[in-house]
Amino acid sequence: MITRAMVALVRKDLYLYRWLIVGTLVGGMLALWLSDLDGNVSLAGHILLVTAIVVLGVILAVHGPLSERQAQSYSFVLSLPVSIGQAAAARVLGSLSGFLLAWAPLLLVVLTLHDGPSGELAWFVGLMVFLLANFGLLLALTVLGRNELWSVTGIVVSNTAVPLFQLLALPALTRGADGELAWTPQLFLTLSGLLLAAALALGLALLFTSRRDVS
Amino acid sequence: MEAALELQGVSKRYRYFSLEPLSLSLQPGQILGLVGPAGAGKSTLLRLILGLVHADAGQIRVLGQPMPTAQALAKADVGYVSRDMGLFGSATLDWHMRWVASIYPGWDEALAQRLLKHFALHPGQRARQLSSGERMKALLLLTLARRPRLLLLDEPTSGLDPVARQEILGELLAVVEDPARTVLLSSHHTQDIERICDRIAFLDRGRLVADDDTDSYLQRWRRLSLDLPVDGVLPDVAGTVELRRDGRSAVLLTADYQPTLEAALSAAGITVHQSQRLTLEEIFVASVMQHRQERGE
Repeated sequence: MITRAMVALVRKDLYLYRWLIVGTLVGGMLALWLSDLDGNVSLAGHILLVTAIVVLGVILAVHGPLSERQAQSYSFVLSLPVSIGQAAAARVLGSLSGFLLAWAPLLLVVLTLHDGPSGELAWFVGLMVFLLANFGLLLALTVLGRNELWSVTGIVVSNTAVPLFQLLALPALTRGADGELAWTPQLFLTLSGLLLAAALALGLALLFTSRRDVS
Repeated sequence: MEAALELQGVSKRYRYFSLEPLSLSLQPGQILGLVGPAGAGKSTLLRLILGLVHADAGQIRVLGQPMPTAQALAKADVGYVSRDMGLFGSATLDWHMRWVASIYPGWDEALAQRLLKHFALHPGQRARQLSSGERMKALLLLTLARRPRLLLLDEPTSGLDPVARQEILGELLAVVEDPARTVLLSSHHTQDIERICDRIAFLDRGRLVADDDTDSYLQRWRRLSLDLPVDGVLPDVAGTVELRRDGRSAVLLTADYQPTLEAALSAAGITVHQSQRLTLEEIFVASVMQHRQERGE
């Protein structure tokens, strides 16, 4: 059940990171516009898009909990009428909402820009969904983690996974029978699996967090 | 009447520290001071009460609610302020006030505004710009304006300058005048505790050493300067904690002073030169040392 205090905690995250969300949205739009142009400018657009979304994810998932730990405002949060599990759930909801507020409009623009059954759309959607799942896994790790080492590990793994997926996995997953970019069953399967894994990881992280002491 | 706070056989074991089974009950309106040296387990106890830490054994009920299972419900009527607590650095105090008010339907805006003035805080100031004294005042404002029935304060005046400390103590003295308000104040400032609390518990190395009314401590603990008779015999005195003899002079520290004691000593040929009350700090130190001695620590 979502309580009044949990809603307030989600609002708090959205308020504290409002400029980051707006900045990502603006940067992402600019990146998508660039990616629609030709040559190296298009490549720069792709890189900028991925960077903007990854930075948003890292700050929401890692910087938020770390700064709360450093400023000891987490202690203040737990003085409110929330259980440890509810506070963790509110953190997940807040971070996820912040991420989706930038990610969803960007996906909408992707769908609009690359209208039609083009293979390019499959590549973009594949990348966007991967970035969402990657954020979910990073968030699960930081919710579960009790110190900076977990966060650093999460950032390293997450940031390594993005170019690997983009350069190695995504081209293979979107290669149609004729060698052109296309929607493929493997792409659907992989993305569904990643989203499921992220949802499962978040669920388990919340379960463990609600049952342990606050350090 | 239902206890505001009830602990029965509560214990918690860490690798290098353990809180031994502890039972404590706090009735509505009582102001309990928890005194102990650093590392005594005061913060652990408060975290257990708040449900932030799971007890290994025992039961905790806060305002009738079992902890930690019903912590969200119980905490609606509990205010908790700790010296380690912080606010959201980039948000202003005004934002914090509006934010907390949105969670608590009983938010007392008039009290919040009064405290804002009294503490000379600026609503537009960002939390990261607050000094430690201002931060503590802001936390106290955000907590008191919720009108909690139970107030848990973990070393709220620790590390503050004397002026900020007096301002906070002054406000706490106003709070404890409300008979419906129950307060548990942890501190190693015995003077603060003595001023505010009507009951005091001493905690040392995870053990509850003593728990009594403030007046009772001050009445029971005495330092007696004695002149012994020629034979130097001193009868057993109840509650003797320490006895120092120097020829026919002696200084006796008792934890069980009765008004009849001086007459009894006179009857035994002993002259009581001076009967001196102890400060709470002296009582605390003597209690802890006696307890450690009894345990062979």
